Amino acid sequence: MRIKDTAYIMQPSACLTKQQLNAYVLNVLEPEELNAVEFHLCSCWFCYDAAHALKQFKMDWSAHLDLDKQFIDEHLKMQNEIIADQEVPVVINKTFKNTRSIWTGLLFFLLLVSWLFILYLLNNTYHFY
Amino acid sequence: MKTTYLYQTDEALLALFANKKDTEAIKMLFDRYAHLVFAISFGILKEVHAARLATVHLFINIMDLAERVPITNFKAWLYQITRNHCLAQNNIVLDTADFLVHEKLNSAYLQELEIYKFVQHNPEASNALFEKVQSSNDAENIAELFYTHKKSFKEIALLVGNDEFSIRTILYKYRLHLIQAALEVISHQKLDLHAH
Repeated sequence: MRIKDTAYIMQPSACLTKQQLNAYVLNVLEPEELNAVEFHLCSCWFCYDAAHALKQFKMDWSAHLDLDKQFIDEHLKMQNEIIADQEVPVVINKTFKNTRSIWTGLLFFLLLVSWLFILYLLNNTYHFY
Repeated sequence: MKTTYLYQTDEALLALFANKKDTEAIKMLFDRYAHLVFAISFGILKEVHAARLATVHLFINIMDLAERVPITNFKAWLYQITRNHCLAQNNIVLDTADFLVHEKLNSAYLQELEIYKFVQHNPEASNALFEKVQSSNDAENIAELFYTHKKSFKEIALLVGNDEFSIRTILYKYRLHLIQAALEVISHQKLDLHAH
């Protein structure tokens, strides 16, 4: 064997396409293309297993190999809907919010008044001495 | 479909889907591998409808797992989960040896590209490799018929008096042997460099 072939054997190649796989199963590939396909099959278990499985039934597989990919969008849409349903909406009770603010205001006002009263008392106490 | 996706690696496409929820990326992966997944499923399940369902089921699983599982070699991983899924559907108990084979395959795929690049740009390594592989005569002859004379599996099978499956297995093992030898040559060259 020629020395340069050692590198050639290890050359990486792409996996078989639908058309290549179907043509290989039906035995209708041109010699050059057949060599390219078999070259890849020598290194890839994935493609070899696939070709071997289909080769047991010598029929046109093109209709079966064209799989519909609409389910990808549908699955993602469904997933998003589930996520949207799971989110708990935050309900703001307006009357409760208003009453709460009134009571807080009142409390602050009372605190202010009490502090002023204490200051007033302290001021008066100082004058006694 | 975006044309730039044609040149992206499988792992890059998977990362695009996992990070940006890019459906075009997962559709590209579907275009690349769905027919192979279908064929393998059909080989195990022996029924077209069941194989179609298994393919869809597997790709839905990939979409769900893409974010959670770190996948270093998509092709090997997909091959493994396809087989596991279909064998489990047929209630075939997986052998531990099966897992070991796939682990080996996974690591081999990762190394191959690096070794090829090294041998391609290193004529000394290529020469050393050539001397190493000449040991096994039968495999050498079959490899010469296939790689140099461009004969098909069928033609070689007729010439040698063997079946196509055996020819492919011999070529596969020959290639593995070559990769193993390349690894040895690379490690020797590295040792020589350190010694100097």
